[in-house]
Amino acid sequence: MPSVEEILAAVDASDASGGLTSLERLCAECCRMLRIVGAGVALRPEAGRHELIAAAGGVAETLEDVQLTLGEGPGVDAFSQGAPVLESNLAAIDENRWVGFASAAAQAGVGAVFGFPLQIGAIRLGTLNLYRESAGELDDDDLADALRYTDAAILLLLHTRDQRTSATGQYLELDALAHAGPELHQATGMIAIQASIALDAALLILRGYAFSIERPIMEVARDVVAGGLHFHPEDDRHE
Amino acid sequence: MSDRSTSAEDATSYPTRERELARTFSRLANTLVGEVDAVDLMHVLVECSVDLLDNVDAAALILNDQRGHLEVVAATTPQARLIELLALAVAEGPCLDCVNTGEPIVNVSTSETDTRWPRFIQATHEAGHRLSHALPMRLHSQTIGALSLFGSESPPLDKQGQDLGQAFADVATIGLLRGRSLHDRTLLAEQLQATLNNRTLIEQAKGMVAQSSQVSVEEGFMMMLEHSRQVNVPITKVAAAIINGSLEPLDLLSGRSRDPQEH
Repeated sequence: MPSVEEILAAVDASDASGGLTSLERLCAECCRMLRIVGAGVALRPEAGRHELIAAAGGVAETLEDVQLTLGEGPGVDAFSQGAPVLESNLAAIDENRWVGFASAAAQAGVGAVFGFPLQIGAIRLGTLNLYRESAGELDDDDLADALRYTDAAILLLLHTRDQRTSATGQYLELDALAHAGPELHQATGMIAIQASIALDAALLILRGYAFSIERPIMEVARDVVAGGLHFHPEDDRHE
Repeated sequence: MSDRSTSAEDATSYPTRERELARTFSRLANTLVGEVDAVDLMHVLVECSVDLLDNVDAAALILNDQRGHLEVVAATTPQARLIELLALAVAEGPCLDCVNTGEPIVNVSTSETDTRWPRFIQATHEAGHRLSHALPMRLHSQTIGALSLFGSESPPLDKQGQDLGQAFADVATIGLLRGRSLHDRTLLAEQLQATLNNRTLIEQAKGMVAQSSQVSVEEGFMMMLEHSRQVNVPITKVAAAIINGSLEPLDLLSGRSRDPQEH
């Protein structure tokens, strides 16, 4: 059972294999670890087009495309509900549910799908879907692994959106976000108001600032919550 | 609901404690009827624990995040000391052991010198408490969380108190599953993960309210909670409305009621 840190380290170490993005490598690792035939990450912005940005296994690519085209499936539901959608036996689901997706999945030989939202509170990024040939529930260990891969995928997505830190190629401090205390989220909300920006941008500013002054992000978050650090609109100016 | 609480108050032949219990359970029933917001229910339950259990001054509900960590979902009076104590309690202490074993652990005293949890005992003492208890949120063979309680030197938690605390922990479990099948592992995972994310969303909204209204995050949360209860909208929805801009932090009812002209 790898921790989020170990998952990120494994993704980092698999760099040499050539050409694959970090999220594609994460999907491949996830397939190997959970013994499944496919994994896919789709971006689901509130405004704009939903798109597949990483997949491992041809099955995942096909079934992600089906979901994006038809607007139905575990990823669509997991995103709208803000909760995992665990469908352990596709052959037995209600015939009116996911009509197009279910038949495509059957054709692809997929017996079970597990959809996880990629979200941090109100920051909603997309979904990670897992595709397995055999029907059956995820046991506790597999569920824990799946949730840790979900956490790692959230962090990689944030990382790729942060030009300042992604340029270094290091996942510095990403693991700190995985076990963040409430102050991190409170500070994110405060910065959103201070700088008149969205929550996702506020979180990136917080992380980028901590990175640039080489302090742990949780320490900086506590400073923000205590009122000792302000971020101003339109730049990263702070005092 | 109001008729139920009235009937409890009318029953003057009952001792005060039983009237309080009746009122508490009608309040809980109110929370469990219709759309259950697990975070709301958990805040009610920690408040009930402090109100109704003898010598319990602080309470928290803690959930297993299904990845091997514990997360605090609701706590009374989130003062800095309690937050620090709870941050430690999810890493070391009776709460963690209670979740791992499924067994209640009561009357852990800070005067114990030979302890399994030296850092927890120290932090409990520094937070001004002398006794702590952990009661499991059990669901068949697994333990999905715990009710963590703190009190002063004496009296210790007796059998009656432990039973009532356990009832609160059980109601938290039932509320998390929205009263649906207790056997459904899929439902548990869906509800538990949604609840944990809602807690994060509420933290983000707390920060927004605190910054907008120039108050502490604790005060910001109290404003959200009061508003939620006054307009009878789940706390998670109040938080989401603040984040998406449909509810201005300055329009929170409790914020307005501070204005003397409103009284």
